[in-house]
Amino acid sequence: MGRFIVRRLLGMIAVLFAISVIVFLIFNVIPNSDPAARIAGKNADPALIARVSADLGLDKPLPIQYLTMMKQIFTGQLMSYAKDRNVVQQIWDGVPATFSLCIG
Amino acid sequence: MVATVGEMEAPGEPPLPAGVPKSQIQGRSPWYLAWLRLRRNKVALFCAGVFVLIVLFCLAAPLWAEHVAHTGPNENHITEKVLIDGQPTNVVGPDGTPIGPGLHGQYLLGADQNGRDVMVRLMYGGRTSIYIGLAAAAVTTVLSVIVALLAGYYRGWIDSVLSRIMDVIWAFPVLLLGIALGTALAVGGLKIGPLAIAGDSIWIPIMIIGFVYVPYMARPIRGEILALREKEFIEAAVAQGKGPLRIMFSELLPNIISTIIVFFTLNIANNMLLESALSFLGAGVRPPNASWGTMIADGYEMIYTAPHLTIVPGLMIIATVLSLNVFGDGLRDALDPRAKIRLEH
Repeated sequence: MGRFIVRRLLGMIAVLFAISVIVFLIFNVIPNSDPAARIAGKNADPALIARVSADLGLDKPLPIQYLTMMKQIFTGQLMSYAKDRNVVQQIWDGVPATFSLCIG
Repeated sequence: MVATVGEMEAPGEPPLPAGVPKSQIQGRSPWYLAWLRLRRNKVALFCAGVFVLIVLFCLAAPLWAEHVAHTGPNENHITEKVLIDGQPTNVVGPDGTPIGPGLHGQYLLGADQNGRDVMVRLMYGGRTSIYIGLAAAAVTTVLSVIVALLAGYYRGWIDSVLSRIMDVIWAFPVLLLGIALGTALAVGGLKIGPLAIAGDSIWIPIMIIGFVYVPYMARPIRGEILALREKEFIEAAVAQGKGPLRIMFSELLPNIISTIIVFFTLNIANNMLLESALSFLGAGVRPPNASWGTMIADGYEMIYTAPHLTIVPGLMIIATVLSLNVFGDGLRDALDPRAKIRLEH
């Protein structure tokens, strides 16, 4: 029984890792989803986009970007670039509404 | 004598009256017994009939387009006029409101804001929607049966790896994964080895829908395989020296075929709902091609001025999905009355 639980927990970690990688990659594959271009505005020149890119660390290779994202998730520092707010805080803000919908 | 006759009857069948000679007791296959049970379920049969009628209706699309409507599904008639009550009327009025349903020869169900015939689009769109539903159900069924057979036969680490992969797909909400894959694949198309699909092909939504529902079907089938794997006839097959492939496909597969048939039927309905949702959100069938989902997406902006644009395809989706679900439930009751298999989503 103990071995079974350990095996399942290891499997859970592997699944969570795979999910995080897929979520990370989806936003690199979806077209027109470059956050730097979005923050820089409609008629931004390439230099501004490049600067925003560098600020967000989007000019680094993908594995480094992934590690940065995971570090920020585990330290609770992940910021939403669309709303410029802390993601953990946003999730907590949404919990009461989700919970009340779940229990009907 | 009577007692033996009663014992030979299948459960749920009325016993033969006393005194019937033994020669009248015929052998009946499980399929025949299932058909006898299905035949008593009038609601399920009615729904199967409704679905067949809808399919025939959609297959008749070219006939209607050529002989009645005289127009194709993507042809615009925005500047044309038709005779209604003897008066020439704009197909699309000056304020952008298209003509509604009515008996004026052409445009039986009215036109949309581009002056396209709703009836013709409904029929061609139905072909797309049903085609996607069927093809995606075939993709899901083949993939999940292979996954379930491998996982259930070999067990051990192969089962663990396959189950964890299923968990990964399962972790994403179906609609979210469909939208993400749909938008990502629509631009570049799909290339896996020799398989290359263009971004605007109908096979992109088929592959996406077929893929995202695999865990929902593979998991219950795997459970059945795991139970069957312990039965004596598998032991006997192994003792006779049958290989793994032979056991999987000629011993295990025939025993789960009734489950597969039921899942396939119910899966078509789920696929058609997902196709409508994806097309409505712009991640499914590419415009100008019609499907029932894209028709609702095209028409929902005019839901107050031209409600027929959304109500007509919406009703078709409801009728098709409802009939498939009721028929699938009836089929399950007929094939295995004790089964509790469910296709959750």
